[in-house]
Amino acid sequence: MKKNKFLIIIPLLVIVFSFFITGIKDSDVVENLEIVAGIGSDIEYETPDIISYSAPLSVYIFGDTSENDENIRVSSAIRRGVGGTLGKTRENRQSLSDKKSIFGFEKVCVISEDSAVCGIGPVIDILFRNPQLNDTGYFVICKCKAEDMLSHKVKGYPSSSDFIEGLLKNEYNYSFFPKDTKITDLYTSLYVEGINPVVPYIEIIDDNIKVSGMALFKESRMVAKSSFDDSKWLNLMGNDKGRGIVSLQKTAKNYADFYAYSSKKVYVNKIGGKLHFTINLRLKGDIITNTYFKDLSKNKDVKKTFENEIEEKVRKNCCSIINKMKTEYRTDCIGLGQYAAAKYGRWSNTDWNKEVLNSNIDINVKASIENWGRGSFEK
Amino acid sequence: MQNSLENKITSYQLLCILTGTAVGIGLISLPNEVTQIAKQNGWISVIIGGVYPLYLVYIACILQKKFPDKNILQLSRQFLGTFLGNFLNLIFMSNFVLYTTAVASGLTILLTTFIMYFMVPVRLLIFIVFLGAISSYSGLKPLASINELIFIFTIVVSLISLVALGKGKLINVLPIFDLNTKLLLRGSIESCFSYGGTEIIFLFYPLLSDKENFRSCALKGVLFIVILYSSLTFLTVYYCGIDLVKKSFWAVLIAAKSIEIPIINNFRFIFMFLWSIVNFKTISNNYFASVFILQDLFKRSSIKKLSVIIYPLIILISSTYLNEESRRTFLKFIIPKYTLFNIAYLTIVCCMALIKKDGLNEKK
Repeated sequence: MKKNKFLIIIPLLVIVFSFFITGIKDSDVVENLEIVAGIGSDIEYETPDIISYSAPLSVYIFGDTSENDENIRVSSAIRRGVGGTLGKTRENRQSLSDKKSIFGFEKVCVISEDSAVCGIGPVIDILFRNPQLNDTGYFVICKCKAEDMLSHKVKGYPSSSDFIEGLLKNEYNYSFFPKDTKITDLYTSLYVEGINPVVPYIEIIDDNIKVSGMALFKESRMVAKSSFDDSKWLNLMGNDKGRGIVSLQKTAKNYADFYAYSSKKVYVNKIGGKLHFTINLRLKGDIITNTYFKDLSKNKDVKKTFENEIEEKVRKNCCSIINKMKTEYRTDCIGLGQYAAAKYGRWSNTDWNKEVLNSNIDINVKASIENWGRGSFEK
Repeated sequence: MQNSLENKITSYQLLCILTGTAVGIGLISLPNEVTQIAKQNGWISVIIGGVYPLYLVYIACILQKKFPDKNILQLSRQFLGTFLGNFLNLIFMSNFVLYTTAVASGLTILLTTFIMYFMVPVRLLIFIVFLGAISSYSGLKPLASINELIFIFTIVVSLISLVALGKGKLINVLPIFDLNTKLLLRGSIESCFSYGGTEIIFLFYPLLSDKENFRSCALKGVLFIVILYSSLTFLTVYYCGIDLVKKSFWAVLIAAKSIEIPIINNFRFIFMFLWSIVNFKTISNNYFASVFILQDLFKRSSIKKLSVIIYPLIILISSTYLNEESRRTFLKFIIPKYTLFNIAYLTIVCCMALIKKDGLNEKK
């Protein structure tokens, strides 16, 4: 009986195995594949109506020792495809590449400013449709061409994509930068009621790649760019959990720095047909240096003054950003519309962007010191 | 006598089979269906939709009390005559054939889209249905053990999705109860269809070894399904927001993708692997249910023989809708009709049973 069983099972296994082997399509050996490290998107206006899309890919090249340096084992190259549509760029790209490119490991998606001003809708659509894509890659806007950004050489890194990934991963430690700036997070903010995407903006300054602000969108089009200092307060109001430094300065040598962990709550009301927002910001944090206030840790009144001054400073900065938002950016870049939509009903064809820009926005800040450090090195 | 003892299952196993037959591929697209109508309150609709399986359990309890040794097939023949009874049973069987093919083709599409794009879909389908056929071939007892094991598996898989809780935003599910009740009820009708598969209890309740526990176990099973469905809908909306759910075919997978574990580059692969195991069990259960009813019609053939015979048939039917868009349109068209048929058929049999006084005494 047992012998019989094996006589059945072994041919069955062979049949199943060969059945699967013959069913495999579109697969390749690893030597024939190119691993993509970063995706880019550029556009060029041929005439005002005709756009030429260009999609550069940064791919790894293994075992490259051409630069007379034996330590370099992995480097990267750019494969650029050009076409009248984004899909056509794939065809064009394959015609100058000797291998098949494989997605799934890409670290960043870099979009040039021109392309973002034109609209990121088509780019996001082609990314969203592709199930093989890595959704946890970072999404950034760059000032120069995406191709230049991807081909920029960074010392110690095989490609600039690896560097940009690290840059964005750790930026959230300071300046209230959002923790999640991945492609997934763009999916949850693009074409979503009451939210406009806010995406990190990088540029090359003195041969270094640097985060220089945030790109502000209205629907799918980039409409403004905030400077690095403005972005700090913008991100403080726009994101829930952030960290950053608030400093009070009297003279060049007398100052105090406060490393704050922020959290926010937004309340919305309707007064006389006009929306009224209240943003409550809560800052808890550590004193990292203080040569400004005397007896800060001992005297309660001094502590109170310190906290009040921090609150006042944050409030003033945030108010100026809100003024800027209403007059200069003309887009709801801190996502207040979603709170209104969550209270007054969704999918009701209300233009939340317009409503928010015409609304009253109040800001309340509450700061408290949690940690004093090792001690105070006062005189 | 010994043979009949071997075919008995415990009430816990019935619970596992009940949940195992209902929880399948439909769960992944459920948020899409309900949020389009009930918006962010889709999860409430899903809870209201739980009335359908509860009603089925209620009927099953009545029947089980009156006729503890006869399943629905025998009862319908007894009350409606051999010809009409058998005809209705055949329609009842095609119900399970539909579920088997829908889940098999759905799983094939899902796998070829996300992780097995190098595979020809039909070959994958042949293999997937083959697994169902094998477990059906081996009979009720092994099937019950498989369900017992995968029930724990299902719990683990659904717990994984809880991780999305830390990443979403509460305002995505607000405002609660802003809808008129009409939309909420329409959404719940939509969710009713995803509870299909619970009808399997009508086949197996006479095979219980501990009949007094039937009611509590069936209720527990339904409660588990309702909680699982509504919580997963809630989590998906909580993480994605209704605007993204609308855009994606399988919104639950976006929530699963948010999980980041060091070393593992892409969590979706692991989720899909676990998820396909859950679906294999769904296919097996529905496959077995179809064969079980067929065997009741053709008394002479054994379950083993019939499992082999309907294998090509199932593949043929599933391969007709290996395209997500056409599959959804087809199911949207056909499943409401089947659900209505089930309600009517089971209610009629139940009413007849109530009219016929006490079945036990009548026999004596």
